[in-house]
Amino acid sequence: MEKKYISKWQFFTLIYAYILSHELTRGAYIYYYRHSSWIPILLAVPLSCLLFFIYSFIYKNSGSTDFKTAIEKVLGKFFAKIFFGIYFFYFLFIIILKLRDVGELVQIYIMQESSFLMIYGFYLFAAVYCAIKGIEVIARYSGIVFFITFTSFILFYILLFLVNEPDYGNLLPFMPDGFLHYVNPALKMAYSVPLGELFGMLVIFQHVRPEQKKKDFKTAYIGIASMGAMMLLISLTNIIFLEPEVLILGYTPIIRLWRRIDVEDFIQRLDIIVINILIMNLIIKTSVLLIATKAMADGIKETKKNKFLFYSVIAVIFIILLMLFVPDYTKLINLRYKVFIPYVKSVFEVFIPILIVIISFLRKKTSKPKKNNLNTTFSKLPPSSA
Amino acid sequence: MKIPAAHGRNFCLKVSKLRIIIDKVKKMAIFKKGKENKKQKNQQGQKTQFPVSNDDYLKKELYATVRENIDYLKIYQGECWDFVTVKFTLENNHQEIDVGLAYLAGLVDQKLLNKTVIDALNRNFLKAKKELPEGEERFRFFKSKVLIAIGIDEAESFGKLFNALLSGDMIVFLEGCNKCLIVGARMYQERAVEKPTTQITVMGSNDSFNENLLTNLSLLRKRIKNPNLIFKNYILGKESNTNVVLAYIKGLVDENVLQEVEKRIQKAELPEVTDASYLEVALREKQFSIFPKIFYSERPDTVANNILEGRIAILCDSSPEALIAPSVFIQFLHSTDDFHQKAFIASFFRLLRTMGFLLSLFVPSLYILLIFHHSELLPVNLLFSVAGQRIQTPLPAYLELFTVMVAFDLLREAGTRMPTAIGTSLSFVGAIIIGQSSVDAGLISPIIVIIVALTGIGALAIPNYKLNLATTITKYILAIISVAFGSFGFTLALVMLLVHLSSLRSFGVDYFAPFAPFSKEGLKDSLIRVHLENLRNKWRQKKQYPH
Amino acid sequence: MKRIIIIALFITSLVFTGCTDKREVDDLIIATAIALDLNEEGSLELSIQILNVHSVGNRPMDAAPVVVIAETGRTVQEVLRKISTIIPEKLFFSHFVLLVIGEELAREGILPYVTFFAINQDALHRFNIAVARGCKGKDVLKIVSVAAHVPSMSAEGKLLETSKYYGIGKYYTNDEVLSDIRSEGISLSLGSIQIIGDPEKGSDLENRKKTDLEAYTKASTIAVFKKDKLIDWMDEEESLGYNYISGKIKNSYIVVTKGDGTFASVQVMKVNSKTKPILENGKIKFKISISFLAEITEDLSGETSHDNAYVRDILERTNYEIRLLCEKAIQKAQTIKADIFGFGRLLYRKKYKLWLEIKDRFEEEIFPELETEIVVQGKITRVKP
Repeated sequence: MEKKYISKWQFFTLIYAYILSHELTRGAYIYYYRHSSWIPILLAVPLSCLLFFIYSFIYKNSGSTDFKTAIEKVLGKFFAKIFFGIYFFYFLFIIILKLRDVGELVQIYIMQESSFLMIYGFYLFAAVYCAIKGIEVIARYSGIVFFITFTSFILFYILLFLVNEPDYGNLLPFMPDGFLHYVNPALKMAYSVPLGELFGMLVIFQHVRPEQKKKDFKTAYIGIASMGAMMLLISLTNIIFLEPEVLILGYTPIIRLWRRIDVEDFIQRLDIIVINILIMNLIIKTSVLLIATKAMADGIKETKKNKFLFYSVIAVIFIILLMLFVPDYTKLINLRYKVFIPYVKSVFEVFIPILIVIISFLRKKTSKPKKNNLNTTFSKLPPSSA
Repeated sequence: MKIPAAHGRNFCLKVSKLRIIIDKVKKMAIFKKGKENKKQKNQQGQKTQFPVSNDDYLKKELYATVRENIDYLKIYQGECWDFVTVKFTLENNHQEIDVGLAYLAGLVDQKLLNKTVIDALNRNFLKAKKELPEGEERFRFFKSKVLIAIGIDEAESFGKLFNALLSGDMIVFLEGCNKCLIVGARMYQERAVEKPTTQITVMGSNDSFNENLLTNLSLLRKRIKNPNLIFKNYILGKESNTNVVLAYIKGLVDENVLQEVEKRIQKAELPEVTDASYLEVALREKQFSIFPKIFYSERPDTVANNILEGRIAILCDSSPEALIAPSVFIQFLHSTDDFHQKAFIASFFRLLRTMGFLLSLFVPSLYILLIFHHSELLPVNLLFSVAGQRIQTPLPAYLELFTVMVAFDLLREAGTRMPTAIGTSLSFVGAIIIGQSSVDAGLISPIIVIIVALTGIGALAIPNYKLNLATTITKYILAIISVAFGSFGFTLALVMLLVHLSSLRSFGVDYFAPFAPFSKEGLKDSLIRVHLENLRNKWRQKKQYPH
Repeated sequence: MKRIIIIALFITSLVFTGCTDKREVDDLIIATAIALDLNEEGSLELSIQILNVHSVGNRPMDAAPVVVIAETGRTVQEVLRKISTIIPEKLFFSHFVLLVIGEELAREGILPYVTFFAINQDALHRFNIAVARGCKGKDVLKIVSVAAHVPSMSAEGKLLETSKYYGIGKYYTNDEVLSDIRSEGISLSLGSIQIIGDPEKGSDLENRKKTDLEAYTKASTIAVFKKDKLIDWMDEEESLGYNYISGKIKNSYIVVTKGDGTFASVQVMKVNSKTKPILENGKIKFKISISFLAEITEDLSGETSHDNAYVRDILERTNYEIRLLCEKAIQKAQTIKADIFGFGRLLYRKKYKLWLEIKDRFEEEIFPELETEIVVQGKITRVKP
């Protein structure tokens, strides 16, 4: 199969959409850190960039652009297969959690009386359709969605400031409990919600078109930074316009914010439009993770045909699992913040990748300095699309 | 299949027995019949699927005598009323030679025949200085000295002869020659060059292609006086043998696309090509999509512009539409009028047209969403007035919407087919029936009429008819989805539509081009239009497609 | 083959769509205002003002624009479900503008009711909350409003907003109310509505057909709460003072008594008020500085002049009047021991450590003894005729 290429700018928009989809569950941190909940985000942005920088060593040290060969070079074939197997299940796990969030969001705000089956079914249908089309098409689509999201957010911001009076005093007192109090949530934010879970993006990174013999990781940092800035802005405006006491109602504070816009009773309840834009971005994340899952499965055993079968089977498994999870959303939230984030995600997002990077460094030192095969991999550039 | 050894022989036996049973079942008659039928069908291939006429003539060589040649011709065309054969003898001082003429009466220029050809034959034959032996010399003399300057060609096989005969040339048979002479004397009855029917502009030239291929090519030549302009001819269609011409400018065109087009044309086995739309079947992409991937136009200035931008135009005999490959989505929203105005004004109207296109796609679904699922988005006054209207109508909103939309589309379809005599009265009736009476009778609410009228007006603003059709179908699908699934479904359907559009390719060029793989250059001529200087020169330098 | 499967799936999924939340516009019962009361037996009474759809549209009937339906129960949810036995369709909350709470109910506490309506999925937009003074909430809803047909959004709701030109009301929405109740350091205060005239006659459609109204609604002064229980009312001057201190006045007026006893009126615009806590000798003191722009619009003695002396005189008197109002407001608040100005919250924001120490004692002990220094400084920009 010909390798598909996406451009740097499309990678940027992919990361943007990926992180935007984490807006859904940002609300839980606000409960603890009320009016200073913007500080952990600010601290988390460089930490997340640092984490991605560490990830990038997997590519740099093994000297290849293909994810599968990179891991195999570092870990050896046997451990690579174990690695792929573990991460296969991890990605599935993330997707299921996200799906549950989506179902909850849609059920609460948009369609109160629809069955979960229909929501998940349709959503998975769309996600599987996008995944079948391939990463190239999703990257193109994310370019369009980026524009829609960006312009609509700017518009809504302008409307918000026109209609409401900001109360900047809501931001005070500034860091009442000291700086170290915020480092812990910043760390957690960096590798999980909202600025994390970027290991999936690393798998996608292999598709970025290499230019001038070097893969540019800068777009990833720009993507994380800009999305982090936007999230910062949103959380700041949340606090400024809504008092902290009101913020803590509900898990998705961004929705309450857009409800404030009420121009002449004509433009009102814009949160429905915002939810739809969020769903458009969420589809990107789900399908990107599905493709990453397939890449992991490819690592174990090559399955070039039968994309349709693979994704449909996964979708059916999801639906079955989700119907089991349906009733207890609050339990899930508790589990998530007490168990998943500290123990599960930190292992998969932080410890194992750091381990791999350390192993790659060791291998690089012990092996003889080989000729850089970057030349041969990049000599054949694909025809550029108009 | 790995059989676990730990279970011992019993297990192996059981499995092998099972295998035997399965094999037996497979060989059973029920299953075999199906497979055999399929195999038979595949073996027989296409021959039993549609009948093919006799094409023995393609390779046959000409006879030496006039009589035999004409007899062979009469096998094929003898029963035709317009098939004329003339046999006469030419005399001069040295010898007498039998000459036979064959032509089709409606296609040939009678005056030319009478005056020029027969005159020339008679007069010039007298100039022969010696007796001409049978064979090459006689043929050479006739070709160069007797029938001079009357568009002479020669044919050795009946294939080429029939092609010329059926195109309207006159065949001259000579006694004793294995070849024949072809005199170009075509005069078609054709429509005059008129205004285009579907793609009308306010300013600028208003001539359109007609059914004669040579006239069409001449209209193109008028606009592009470039020696690099190439008209490459193909004869397609086994039964119809139609002339198809590829027009492009060598040096500007993209080689990959050209190869792709040629490959597809040659690979296609079409029985007939009576219109350019049959060619589309040959040129179509593998991926199924409602949206049109080949642009068509019946205006020579549009086609000339596209050729100058580096595209390939495909013209077909007896079809007033030219196909243009490759094409991108945004082209279907452009009209030549944009280039006749200033950039700013043109951009405004392009945006208006795009808004019309979006309206025609989304208004019915948005109406359903706002009325049914998300009444919160409406401002209160509007909500109250709509509620007040709707309480007086019997049908639920979606049924009403579909009924009126179907009626509107039916009306439009009927309007294109009816003769002009009934035209005005029917539109009058349509307006009254659908509009006023239903509202007065309390069957539908006035707001539905407005919604459907908006949709229709938006659809009429789309310059290209094919996109119009695609939009109509898509809007029905979107309306059904939004009725059934609400705004969540609408969003997801929109996502799938965008992803589908982004994944299309037309001859290797990305379909949704200035948006999907984002290119700043492409955006300059997409929804807006910047000054011409910015556009053209940079393309030439970069050798890129404009969009 | 693939296509057939997909199409078949699609059609079958149309059957399974649980779109029972689909509601047609004309099937909706649109609620425009809600009132909560405590009836004589002490149980909750909820009244809903519903748009009468037959009175709007392109062929309206001559009917009352709204209909008020009331039911009793123990909790809000119970009452709403009871109402579903009266109305044929499900209630549609997304457009209601006003929540009126009766006086007796307000004295018992409003937090649970406000939270219910604020969190309910449908009604998550901003609506006003007001207290019904001297009458029941139900009666407020029943009055056939004069200013506009109901479609212009429940004139009562707008009433509070327009009262900002007079300066005594308060236009508070559900988010702000919730936040005030739940945060430490500020006490809630709400605007109120009262009925002038006989409420029974006001609910008659005939009320609108006469030139002399039998009954109408009027925006009234501010009600002071402690946590979420109503404790007292403020009169007009005190309400004005409160609005000046919190800077909520955008455009109001002051009547000034001149030296010779005649009145002049000054239009006050762009009121800016800043409060700062100052620590002096271990004691907390608040400095309130108010600045405004003003125009002299009217002088009953008939002579206005552009004299510096004249203008300065009026300016000083305006400053004095405003300061008087503010002091009255603060005095009243200190008497009832309700910190409606948010002094506590200011301390929380600016002097966090100090606030942590005195948090518990603030409302009862420190606030009533608080010293405030009010500095009013204005500028007169124009003298009209």
